[in-house]
Amino acid sequence: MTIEADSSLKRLLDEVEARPPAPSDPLIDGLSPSLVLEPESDEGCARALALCQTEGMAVVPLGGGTRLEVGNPPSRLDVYLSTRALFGIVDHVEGDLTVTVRAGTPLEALNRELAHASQFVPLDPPLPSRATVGGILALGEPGFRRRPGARPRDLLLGFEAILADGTKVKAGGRVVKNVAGYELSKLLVGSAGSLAVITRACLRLRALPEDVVTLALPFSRISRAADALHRIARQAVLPEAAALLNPELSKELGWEDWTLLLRFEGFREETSEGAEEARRQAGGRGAEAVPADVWNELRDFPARPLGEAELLLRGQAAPARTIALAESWQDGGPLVAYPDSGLLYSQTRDLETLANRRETAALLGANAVLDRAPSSLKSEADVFGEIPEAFELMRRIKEKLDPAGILSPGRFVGRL
Amino acid sequence: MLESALRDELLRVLDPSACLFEPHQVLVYECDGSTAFKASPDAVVLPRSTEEVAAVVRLCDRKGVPFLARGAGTGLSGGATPGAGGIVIALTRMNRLLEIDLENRVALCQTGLVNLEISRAVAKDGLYFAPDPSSQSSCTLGGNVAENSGGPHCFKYGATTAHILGLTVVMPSGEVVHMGGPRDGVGYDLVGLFVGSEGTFGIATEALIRLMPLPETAKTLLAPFRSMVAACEAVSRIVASGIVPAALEMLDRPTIDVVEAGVIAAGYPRDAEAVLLVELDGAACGMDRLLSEIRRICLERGALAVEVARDEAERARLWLGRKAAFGAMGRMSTDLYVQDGVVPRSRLPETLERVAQIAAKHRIRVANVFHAGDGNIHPCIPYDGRDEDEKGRVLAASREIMELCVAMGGSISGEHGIGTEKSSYMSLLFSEEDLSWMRAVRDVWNRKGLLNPGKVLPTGSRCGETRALPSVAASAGAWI
Repeated sequence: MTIEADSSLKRLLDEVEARPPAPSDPLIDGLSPSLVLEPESDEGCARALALCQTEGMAVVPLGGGTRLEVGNPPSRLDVYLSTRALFGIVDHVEGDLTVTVRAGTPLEALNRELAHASQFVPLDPPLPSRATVGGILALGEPGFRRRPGARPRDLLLGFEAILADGTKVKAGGRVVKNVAGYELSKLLVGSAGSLAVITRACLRLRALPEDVVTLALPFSRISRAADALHRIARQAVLPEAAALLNPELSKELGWEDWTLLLRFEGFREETSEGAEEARRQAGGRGAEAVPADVWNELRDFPARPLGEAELLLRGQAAPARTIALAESWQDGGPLVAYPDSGLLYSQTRDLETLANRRETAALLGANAVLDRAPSSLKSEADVFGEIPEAFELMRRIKEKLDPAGILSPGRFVGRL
Repeated sequence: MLESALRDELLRVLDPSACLFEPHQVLVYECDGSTAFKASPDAVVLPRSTEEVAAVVRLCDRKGVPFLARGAGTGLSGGATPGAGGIVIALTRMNRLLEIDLENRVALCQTGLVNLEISRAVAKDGLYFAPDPSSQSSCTLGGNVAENSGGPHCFKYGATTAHILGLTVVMPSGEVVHMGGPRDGVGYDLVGLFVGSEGTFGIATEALIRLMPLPETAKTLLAPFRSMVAACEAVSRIVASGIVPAALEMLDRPTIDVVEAGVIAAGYPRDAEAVLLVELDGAACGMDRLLSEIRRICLERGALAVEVARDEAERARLWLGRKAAFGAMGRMSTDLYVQDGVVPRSRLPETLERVAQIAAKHRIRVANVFHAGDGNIHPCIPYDGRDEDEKGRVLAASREIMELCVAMGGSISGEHGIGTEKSSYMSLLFSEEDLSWMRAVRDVWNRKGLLNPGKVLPTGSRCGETRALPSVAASAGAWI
């Protein structure tokens, strides 16, 4: 289908900032849209969505395109609504530790600006030089900082968004404590562009820490790492992040066996005492302080090229079951587990293992999301691994807010 | 009055001792802590299980009778007032702590459980439940979930929403739905959406909550200032330094005066225009340096003195005035209206100045006690409820204070909720499109609108000025 031949596409082209897709635009499961809309204002974004709804065109919101592989293949794809031109800081109030930013701003660019005031957004999504604020919020994926307080849902104070019919809405505000109106930020964070397109967001900031200490602790057996973690969880100074790497990933990063990485962040007294105590808890042998750069490797792990691997699985376990799940998934590719939250990322070469891995996950009460995989597999397999008990409610929310089904159709849980 | 058929059906699903029908029995359920909003329910039921709640709700759904859930009734925005009559489902008998999972640091509780009981039950394991609203010794978990309650320590640990992992919800249709759980799941964050929905989405009967490790130590520091502006600047400097205190609380001159004139004088200097209380908690290491840093900042901004509590007794004494402030205000007048608003922290000085101007214009008194760390102000207005003219002036001033908070870039409620009291103020913050969106989301849950009607969202042309004046009876020890 050419743009000239399709009157609705032509109308979009005439009325909003639009272009045909370029070779540099990402594909979703091999699909490319017919048109890329790049509105330069929130109003333009609203106009674009209103037109798409009128014309019945399927829209996938596009940020940095770093995590487009997550989700089911779209059932239809006509238009990318790119937030690229919605760029920049609207308002940074240093004294309040808040920033209002346009959705298309990449996180790294934002944090570079905030660093002038010794502040930052404590989020660690993959590829932050490209990942945009809007995309990070839409996916809702936490980074290696997994404690409450540093997840996208904790940091979003308020936002403006465009609904499927082009209506501009907002919720929350610019203050750190606010209970006026429903918590619609929680609905949009993690909704993966299926309910609305976020255009600007107000985020809570943190002061840059005085000190960061990263400790790498080697363990010949995973059970020893588990024991150490158990003791470390009772320390007075808790690590800001803890990650367990299987031997394959350890080797890639220059270690052997299982490696427990701990990140202590804060004032010098805290970081040094935290690290010292952790060394003691772990038995002391072989513990080494390493550069904090290693966290960037872990941060980017979900988005890095799969190489020989065919699949990336995201495990979701109760925190106390993280180690057991890591153990049962340890072979067949690099793996990182975050025991504070029960999140695991595991690359695997063997397509056949998906069913096995899901079985072992189920035995542990865990779930395995097929985060990345060849399109052929994704269209057959159940990408999300489970249908939540409250799915009917989710379906009704989607139906109410996007009755024409134009926003990322088919991509969300249950192919919503 | 309840039609007798419905009465009979309620008695079929519940024990007679769990059903209250007589006017004298339902009298105490006609309002929450904001006693100016009163409406009599037709019946009150006291179920003991999710199944019993669901049975009552199904009945209401079938008969088209309005209903709402209620915990301890400590709310301050009329959220549990049965404005449309109908049935009040009081969850106070659903007060069991069902399961403690130490490995995952979570607990499963019925939602009628009193907030503080949770922390008491897990203290022996070195854990606690972080949300600490002022009423925590009487308010219930279900109320905390409904209001997304805060408290002084939510500055550091987040409001209730950060601590709820899963919910069992009786939908307004009577269907029972489980959402969330001990691990991450897939799909929309329904738990996050539900928390703070003020009892208009469904009735949460069980909650899976996060337990936090008790901090190793806590230190409290008190600094009186000769100017409120300087005290607020100190607060901003402390926060910007990277220190995250567990609490940052402020009292202004009128509050200091009334505290010091009372029987439980805390020893605050009478020449201070503001008293700042800072609490640090966490690991003991390095805390001395942080305390001296805070001391330095306070003195640099002109603090008259800086006092650090040396032991638990001293710490209690420093907090005494803050905790007793609302009780002490009882000496100012017969009634007290506690307002709740938020402004960006950096605009606190300007806001308080404007609040004083508004008070002068309307010839009322205002005393401020507030959570300075997150800009959450509580202007307290003493008045005589028997004086209609004064009531009118209080109401007019109150609306202007709300308008001021919005103009400052803030919000009309930081922790008390919208409920009945502030639904007409919602349009100060939100456009008709915003409100329609909220209504659409609510209607997905509450399809027939029988659950807690008339709350949160404005229902029509009703306007604040025509409302009865909310009054909050302050009790000794109240800590808002």
